[in-house]
Amino acid sequence: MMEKTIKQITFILLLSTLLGLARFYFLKDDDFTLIKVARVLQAAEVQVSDSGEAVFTIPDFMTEPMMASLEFTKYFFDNKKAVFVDARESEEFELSHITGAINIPFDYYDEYMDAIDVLKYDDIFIIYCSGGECSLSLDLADVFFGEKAFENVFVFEGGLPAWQDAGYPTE
Amino acid sequence: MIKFMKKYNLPLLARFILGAVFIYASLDKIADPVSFSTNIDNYHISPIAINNLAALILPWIELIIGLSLITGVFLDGASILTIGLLAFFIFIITQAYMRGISLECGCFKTAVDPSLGDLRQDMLWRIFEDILFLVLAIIVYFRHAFREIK
Repeated sequence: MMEKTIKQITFILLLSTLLGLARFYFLKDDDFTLIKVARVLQAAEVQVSDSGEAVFTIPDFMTEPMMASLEFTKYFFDNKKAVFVDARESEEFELSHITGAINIPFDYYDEYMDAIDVLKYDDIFIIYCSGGECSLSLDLADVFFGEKAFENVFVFEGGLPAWQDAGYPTE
Repeated sequence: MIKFMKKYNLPLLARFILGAVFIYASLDKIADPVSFSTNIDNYHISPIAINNLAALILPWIELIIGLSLITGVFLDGASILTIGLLAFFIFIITQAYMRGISLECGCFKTAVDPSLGDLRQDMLWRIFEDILFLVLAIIVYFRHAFREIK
């Protein structure tokens, strides 16, 4: 009885695997590989000025969104040169967010087109969400960079948790 | 209760309900494994390398299980797999909920549904729903014992 059940399970799993592989064969998407590769963003560059301070510069031309470190993010927060975008849901945003950030929840960004369209394409955007567990910021960065053709899009991967841990301003 | 279950042939009813649910759940994912793979990423429970493979194979398991439950072919194997899958779904949605991850579960539709209000509320509903389905799957597996109850 048990042996029969195990044979049935094995058959179902094998058949599913074969059908899944057949589906892969007919899938027309070059980016979709059998073994998925994690996407790693290139980190923004840091230079040290004559006085020994870290100075961050924006590349002249970016081919995809770049990764922003905590230091990079704080640097652009202090000199007020960047627009901070919170990609989480509005309820989470209302609880706490980086001071001055605007909220564009990735899951509903279609509804926020009016807010996106008033942004300047050559501004510096630093997008964040809830840190390591969260991919909303990366997804929204792809929309900003790809669909909306904004030039300088950065993802602050540490997100709100890293910002709060460092004791930086939230509201 | 037992009388009620016998009168309405609960194991058969459970088979049709679960079968329909699993077939319905599989179709969108078979059509769009790319989005489903992103749904799997969001659970943060498996190594990213295997998520595309899982997105390709898992929906077919669901479809075959659904067909088995309805036709009665390979019923024992299908009901054990159903129990295993549902227990797994309950576990992964619960762990995501406990860790504070808000996610579009990818249970039935792979694309984000803008009409869906509160994601966390939806996750709780999915957990409850899967527990109900799990009970049905257990009834299907123990259908012989069920018939012998006088």
